Amino acid sequence: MLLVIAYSRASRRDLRNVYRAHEDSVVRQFGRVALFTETEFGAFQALRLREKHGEAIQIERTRPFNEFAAVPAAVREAATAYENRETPSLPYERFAAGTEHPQPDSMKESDL
Amino acid sequence: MSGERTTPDTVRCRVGDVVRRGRVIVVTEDIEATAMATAVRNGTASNGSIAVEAPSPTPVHQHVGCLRPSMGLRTRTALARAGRTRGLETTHDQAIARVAAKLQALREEAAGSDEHPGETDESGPEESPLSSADENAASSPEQDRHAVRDETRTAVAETLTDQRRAAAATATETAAIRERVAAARGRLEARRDHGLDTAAAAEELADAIADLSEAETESAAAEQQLGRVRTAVRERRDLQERQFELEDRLANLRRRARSDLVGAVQNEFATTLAAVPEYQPGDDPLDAPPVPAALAIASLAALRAPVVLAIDRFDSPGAASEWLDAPVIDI
Repeated sequence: MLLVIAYSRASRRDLRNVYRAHEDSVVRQFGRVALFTETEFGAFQALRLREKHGEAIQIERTRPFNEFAAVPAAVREAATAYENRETPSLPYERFAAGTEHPQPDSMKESDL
Repeated sequence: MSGERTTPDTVRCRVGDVVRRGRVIVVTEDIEATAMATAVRNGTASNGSIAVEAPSPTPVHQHVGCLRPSMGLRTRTALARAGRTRGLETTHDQAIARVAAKLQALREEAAGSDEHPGETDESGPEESPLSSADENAASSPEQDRHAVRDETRTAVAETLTDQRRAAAATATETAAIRERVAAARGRLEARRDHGLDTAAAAEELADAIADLSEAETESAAAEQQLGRVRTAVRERRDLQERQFELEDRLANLRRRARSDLVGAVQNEFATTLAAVPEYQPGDDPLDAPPVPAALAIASLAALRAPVVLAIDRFDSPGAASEWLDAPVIDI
């Protein structure tokens, strides 16, 4: 999908207008952010917005997220384990300390 | 005409070669009311064939300065602006001025941090924060066009577009050369298999490989540069976010100011409406049709620039001028 983000009142208003005029090109709309279909028409609408509003429109392309392909097992397991922890108020850093779970710092340094 | 002095509220109006002066001007030539209104606003209109010398219009003039049968009217906005001409203030005015100033500073910062700053032209006339204080910022078309024109022309955004184009081009080129290498390799092997002379084919392959190496380097460099520009754009987004928040805050403040101003003049508006000739007020003064509402608003506003009059409700243009307490150019 194409992720379109508005950074000004004018661009937000026009983004909303796309949603109103072309509902089938817009998968989801959240005020100043929208997901357009990844079709030529979706791209056309996004590019129109950028042509008109320049920097005030950001366009990104999303990919389906397959955590088994993209994310190391240790990270996946840490997420599951942490969400099933016994002590709710325990911050992750303490939870992971002294275990095999990855530390937040090292995860922050590692791109997917 | 040289001996005549134009007092502040005397209007001088020229249509073609005909010059008229006074507080009440009756134009007999066949011209559009909107053209005359343009002349009141800008000094001249219709390629200079119409000219008006008069006090400058205030923002309320945009709404009630050209009274014609088919007019539309944003009543609340017009009322709020009329209130401003009467010197009315709101508790939001200081905040509006503050936020507008901050926003302007951010916009200048954005223009300044933009590469090739010479390309952005921020030098349009800025409305004072209070003169547009009573309306939703998004509904001011002049401001929007001004802001949008600047945003689309930022050098950073254009650089990013150029970079994307370059990266895509080098990637395409590299792919084409890869195919050339594969083809050359295939031809070389075929010649070898058939025991034919391979010198030329080998040289072709070597050339293709050299070209590929060059293309891959270029492609990598383009991607790197793209990454750098993307980072620069991302950093500018923070600036944009802050601008956006301020824009929203400013619009909200203006909306509240407008609401307060409308409240302050509402009673006078209702009373004035009741006095509009040939009009029977309904339940809600704010629902009154454009012409009576505009007449009432023009009347209660402190107008010094002339009102262009293209309607027939009054006994005479002079009577209209008195009723409105404003100079009149009757079309």
